Amino acid sequence: MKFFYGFNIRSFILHLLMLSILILMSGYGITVKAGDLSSELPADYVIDAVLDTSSRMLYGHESARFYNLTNHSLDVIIFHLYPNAFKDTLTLMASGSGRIKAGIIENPGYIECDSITIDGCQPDSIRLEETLLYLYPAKELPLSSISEIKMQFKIKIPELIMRYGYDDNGNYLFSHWHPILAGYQKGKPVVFDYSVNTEFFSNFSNYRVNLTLPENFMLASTAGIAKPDSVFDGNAYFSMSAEWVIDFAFVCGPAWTVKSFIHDEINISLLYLQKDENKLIELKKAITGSLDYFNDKLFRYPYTDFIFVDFNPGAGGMELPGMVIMPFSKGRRGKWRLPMTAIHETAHQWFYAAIATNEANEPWLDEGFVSYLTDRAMEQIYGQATMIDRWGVKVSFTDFSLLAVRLAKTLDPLVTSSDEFHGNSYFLNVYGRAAATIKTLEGVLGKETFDDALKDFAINYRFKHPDTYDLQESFENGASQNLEWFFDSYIFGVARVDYEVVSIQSSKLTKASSDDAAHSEYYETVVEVQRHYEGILPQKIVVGYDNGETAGQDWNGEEKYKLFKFESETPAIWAAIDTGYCYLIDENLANNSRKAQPESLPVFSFASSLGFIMQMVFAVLGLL
Amino acid sequence: MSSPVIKSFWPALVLYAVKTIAVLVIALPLFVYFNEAFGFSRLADDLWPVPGGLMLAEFLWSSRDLFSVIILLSLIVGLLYFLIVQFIYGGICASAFDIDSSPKQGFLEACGRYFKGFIKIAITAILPYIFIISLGDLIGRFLSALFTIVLGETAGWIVRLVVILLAIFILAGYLINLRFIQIQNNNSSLRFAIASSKKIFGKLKYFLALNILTGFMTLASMTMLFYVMILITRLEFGLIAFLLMLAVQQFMIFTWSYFEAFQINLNVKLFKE
Repeated sequence: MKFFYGFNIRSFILHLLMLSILILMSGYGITVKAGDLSSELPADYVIDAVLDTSSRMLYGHESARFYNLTNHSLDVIIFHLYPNAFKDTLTLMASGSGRIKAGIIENPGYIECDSITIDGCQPDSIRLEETLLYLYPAKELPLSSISEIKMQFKIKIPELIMRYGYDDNGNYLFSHWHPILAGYQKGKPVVFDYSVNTEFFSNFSNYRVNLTLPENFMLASTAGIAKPDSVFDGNAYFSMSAEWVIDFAFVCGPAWTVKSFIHDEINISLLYLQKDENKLIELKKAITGSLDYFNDKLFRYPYTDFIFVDFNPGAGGMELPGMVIMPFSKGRRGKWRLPMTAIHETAHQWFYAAIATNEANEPWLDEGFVSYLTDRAMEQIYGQATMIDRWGVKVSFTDFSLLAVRLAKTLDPLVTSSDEFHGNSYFLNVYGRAAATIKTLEGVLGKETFDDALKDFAINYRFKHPDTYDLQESFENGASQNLEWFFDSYIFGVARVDYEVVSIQSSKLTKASSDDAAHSEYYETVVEVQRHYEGILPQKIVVGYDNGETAGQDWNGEEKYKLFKFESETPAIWAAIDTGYCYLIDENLANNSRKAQPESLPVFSFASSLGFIMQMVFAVLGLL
Repeated sequence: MSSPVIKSFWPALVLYAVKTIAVLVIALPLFVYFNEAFGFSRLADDLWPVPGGLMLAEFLWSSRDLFSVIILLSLIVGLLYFLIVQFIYGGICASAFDIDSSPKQGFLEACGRYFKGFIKIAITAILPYIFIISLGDLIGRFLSALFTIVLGETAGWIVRLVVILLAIFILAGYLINLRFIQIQNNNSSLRFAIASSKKIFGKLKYFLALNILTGFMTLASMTMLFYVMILITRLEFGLIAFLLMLAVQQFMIFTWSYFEAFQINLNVKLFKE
């Protein structure tokens, strides 16, 4: 045993005793509560761990059961060792960010595994590749067999980097911390090195976790808020279990206060720092509002507990099964940051935790839907979807999506692995462009059909691991139409879209009436529409008249150029396509409409306001 | 000698005209571009009273190539504006001092005569401005925290802004006095002006009262006009709303220019009483 306890012999002996008892217990048939493993629930874990805050180490023992869900026998069992991403500056994680590299130099983190057995025998060989551990059993694992892998591990905890570590308040965040069996999707293992943009993929599992922490520590986890089973000699001993989760995450530390309440039979707990107590009402509104919205639009929240932790994970917020980690204090983005982040991370309880898509290979699937749904939920809860609100100018995530589509330059298909997007366009593509594409799909199908199809997809793939093909199939079934053209062009492909209303011309004409004696006058409006790129979207060409009435014609959008004629009693004053601004992947929204006569007043008003701001700047400059 | 209230009117017009011309040089190409890009589009209907998110995103994207030109143009115009204003201050300060009785000819002559010294003051003033703004911000933050507790976040922000602006007005008042010292002694030396400014500190209370008063009057007027502007934004957009907005915006600029001139005409009292 390589574990190092360089202090307090009494504490050492106690930990050793506790650990030994737990190891013995786990070896003598103490298993997780759920029944046998299956292809949908192919793993369970029993973990015993002791946190040593003085050396920032976590010592543990893991007993994992693995069900061979492939259609063949297996000669290797693969584990992800995420903490090794912070081992040194040569890791893929370190190469992706100067900030992370600096953090690793200052305070590295790693995991070491020891005493590994598979079904009681030592593996034939073991191979460690950065964040991946390959175990080769002495004999192959038969199809549908269950194997038990046991190991001891010790984790050196880094100062908080990317979802993992400790902060200045002495609080700890653990996600993807223990040796996790590589997940399988459609019978194939999903293995990847952990990088800055890579999120996680693992199969649904059951957990039983026993933790020993300092007695003044609070513990919240995927399983809920935990109370110690016993407190002895300065330590608190916790036991928790969680079922059907893709990770068992926990936070612990001395710095939080808890406020709990029940909403729609869900136990919600807010772990907050005292300085942020005044944010709780705002936060509660966002959480309960979004839970109601997603319960209605998708399916019922999948767990009994939901925990929000006031902790800065090094990103705006972080989703974990049954938990959200985010700073409660107001950020630079002003008053909407808190509700928007809370709603975004709540949406991840569906698109990540319960509909567990492959975040490494298809990151657009969860972040895209979550970004899109965040705006929808905000509209429902607050009557507006606002990301930034400054000087009266309100920008929603949808508005940002419009810019993201253009900035991302459509170089990569949305179905691209997180590490393979050009340049630094991961964020633009996976969040903004993906949300814009989903909004466009909503425009193609109509909101009602889209919502029905989305709900079908969510329910059908609850506690499953769908990919983009599953999404396509599900939406095709839900909407009762072939969507191959859309997915091939805009999700698997990189088609660009720009439709332009080139001109609108109304002419007065005379038409002979039926008795050939009288003639009636009418206006014929000709609208010229052009498609600039290869991307095709069905369009409705709408013209508007002085009296507020409109008329429209449907078009499949396929021709490069087309004229549309409308007859009316008065001349049309404008023509437009996509009047609801749903087709956000269209690269120029300004040319989607055209007035018969140019109207300079709004433009002049805007220009004069900009001029006024400049005058004020000059006025202050004049004080020199 | 006429009162500062009346005497400040024509210099205010001159200062306002300079600001307006400077901005027109920058804004006209911008307007031509806007009109070309959005004049026919219904998206432009979403410009009043402030641009909507989609309109803003579209505008930012479509005018991205124009930004570098506008920034360069703004820097050039800003530099010219700075020089011209320092030039004009010569005439305005001389007039406040009643140095010349023939306004037209004397004004330009005075502009040229004091330009060198005034430029030295203006350039050197950058550092003290950074200091005074930082100091104002520090005090403002402290007071803001107090006001936030009692009256809420918005009140805290207003207090912070007011403290910073008052600090700026006090420094601006001091710089005006340096200019008067140069005029009084016909000496463009900055060092001499600073050394001679000790006498201002002899009348510190009077000096502070004059400049804080000007600051408060400016801020009060600007705040009132700002709220009028907010009211106008609630009108349905049309020619009347646009004209009203334009009038209030330009009146705000004129008001600011007026108080610039007024501060000069008030501070001259320190030298004459």
